[in-house]
This record gives sequence, structure tokens and C-alpha cells, in this order.
Amino acid sequence: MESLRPGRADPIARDVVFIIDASLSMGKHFSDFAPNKLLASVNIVNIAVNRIIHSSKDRIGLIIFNAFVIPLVQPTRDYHKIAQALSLIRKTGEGSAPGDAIVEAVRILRRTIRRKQAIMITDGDLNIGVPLEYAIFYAHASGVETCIITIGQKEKIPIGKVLSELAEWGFVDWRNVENTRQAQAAVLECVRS
Amino acid sequence: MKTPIVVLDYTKNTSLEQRLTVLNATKRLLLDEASPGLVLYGVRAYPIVEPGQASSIAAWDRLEGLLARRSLDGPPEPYRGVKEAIDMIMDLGLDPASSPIILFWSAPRKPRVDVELAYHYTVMTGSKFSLIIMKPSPPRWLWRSIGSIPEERIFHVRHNTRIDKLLLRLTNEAT
Repeated sequence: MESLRPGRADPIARDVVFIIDASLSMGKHFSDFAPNKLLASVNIVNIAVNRIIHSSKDRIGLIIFNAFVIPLVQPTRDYHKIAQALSLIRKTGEGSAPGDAIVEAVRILRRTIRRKQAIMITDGDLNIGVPLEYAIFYAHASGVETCIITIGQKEKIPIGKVLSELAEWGFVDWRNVENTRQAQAAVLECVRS
Repeated sequence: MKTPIVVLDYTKNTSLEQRLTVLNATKRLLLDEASPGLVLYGVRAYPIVEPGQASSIAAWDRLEGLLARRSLDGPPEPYRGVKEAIDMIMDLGLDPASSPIILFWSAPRKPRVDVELAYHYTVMTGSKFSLIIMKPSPPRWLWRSIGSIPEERIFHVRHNTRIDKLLLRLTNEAT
């Protein structure tokens, strides 16, 4: 599938937007994600951000979402700003709009000429907003590499079927994780790809 | 290069057949050396394809297959759709004069002040605005004009209207 956007980007530095699901379901415990999936994910993202900032010229942005999308940090290399934003995250409310979050990430990345990447961590619920396949198509067409990490048992992920299909077409890199070790590895692999 | 942006009501107001017709007509603009963008709107608005990017018929065919699956939640908010289109023009640094905004309206009522505001917002940006009414109700003659939107910017789709030719004409109006 050829991209709709074969434009050139800076091959050396990237703008990476992390998208964290902050809906109510992420406030629950699963496997070794303690005290809950959300805070464990925040911790994993914090580690990844620290590593990226100190080993590359990449910039990091941050978005959280529930039924609404809340951009927190525009792409920056200021680790303290990102860490501060991460420390504020707690589950924010009902509803889950991952499609809207991806669209917002693409909007944030629209103005950059660097290589663009969006990495989402979610438990795979979707009940509000743009259908996920529309959003992922938009990201792919706009030259944004999208990596979605879902937490839970693979066969029980609500958006698993859609993600599987889109991954086959090459629109998205989908990784399902069932423990924090896998989650950490998945985030770092997404970042390295 | 002309970069028209089609803003389409993607709620259940627009039948699947109508949606596919508009998508097909938008795709055909590629053959006329335009690079169209696409925004879908319901109660929220979403950019789907950015204008001005190189694109292929095959990619649009894949898009049609994806979009045919479901509609967006209503009620439709056309102002949000037009705002999304204008945001794209500004963010991507496109020339507004070459980026006409073509708003499709499918709700079974006369467009009101929200569409009028969308018209003025577009014109202030320097872009051309066209309103295509998919199913006029009540009869068209009762409402030739909508607020201060000039009548020549309003187009009614009839059973024999060629939407692809209409889109091409509206695209070629741009400088």
C-alpha cells in the first residue's frame, strides 16, 4: 500500500507523540500492571522518554484521552516538562476515543518536517469518536508511523480485529502485551523502529 | 496545483450510495491534476486526507472500502467540518485561493446560521466556498438563498446531477 504522502522528512531526528489512554478502564489492575494499567503505563513511558531524550535528537509530545482528547505537551526536548506532565496523569473520565487521539497526534505533527511517529498505549476500548480505521488511515496517509500497544488478553481486545486487519495492510504496527516487561519492550521496539 | 477540500456530512443523513458517489467524484479530481483533501463531519469533524499531497487512485480505492463501513454520530455540525478544512489549509501552508472548500449538506432541513458562519469564515480566509445540498427539503424554490450566502454559491443535487463534473467545475474556479 503506497502512502498518500511520500514527502521527505528529516531522517535523523523524529517528533514522537505518546498517546496514553486515561479512561476509567485503565484505572483497573491487570497482570503485573500495578497499581493499575494507567500508572504502570505512565511509568513505562517515562522511562522510554528519558532514554529517547538522552540518546537522540528526537522531540517528544504527549496526549491523553478518554471521551475527549487532551494534548498535554507539544513536541519538545525538555525532559522536565514531559516528566511533570506525566506526573499529573490520572484516570480522567468515562468513554474512550482512541481514533480522536490519533487524529490529534497527526494535527500536532502536521507542521514538522521531521520524521513523525505516534505511539499509543491503551487497553483497547473504543466507544466514542471517529472509527479507528479512519484515524489510522489518516495517520498513514499523512506520513505518521503509528504504533499501538494494547494491554490485555489478545483475543479479548475490543479493537483487536480492526487493528489486525490494518496491521496486515501495513497501516499500523500493533503489539499486544500482557505484562509490564512485554510493555516496556514493545515501547522501546516502537521507538527504535 | 489546485487543492480543493471536500467537507462531507458522514452521518446517516447521507446514504451510503451518496457517500460513495461523492468519494468517487473526489477521487476523479486526481485525473484532472488536482490534489483534493477530505474532511468528514458529524457531531465532530475529522480530516481524512490532506490536500496537496501526492496520492494515487489505488489509495483512494482502499479508502473507499474503509469508509463504506460506518457513519459518524450526528447531529451534523458543518461549521466544525469547515473549520477543520481551514485548519488544514493554514497548517500546511497552502494557498487559500487554490484551496476551495466544498461543503456537502445532507440534513433534511434548511441550513441555518452555522452554515452561514462557515461561509463567512471561509471567505475571510481567502478561500472560495461552495455549498452542495444533497436533498433539499422543503422544495428548493422556497429557499434559494441562505442568510447572506450568495445564491451562486449554493448548488442543489438533482437526480441527473453529475457530482464529478460539479466538483471539477468548482475546483477549476480556484486560481
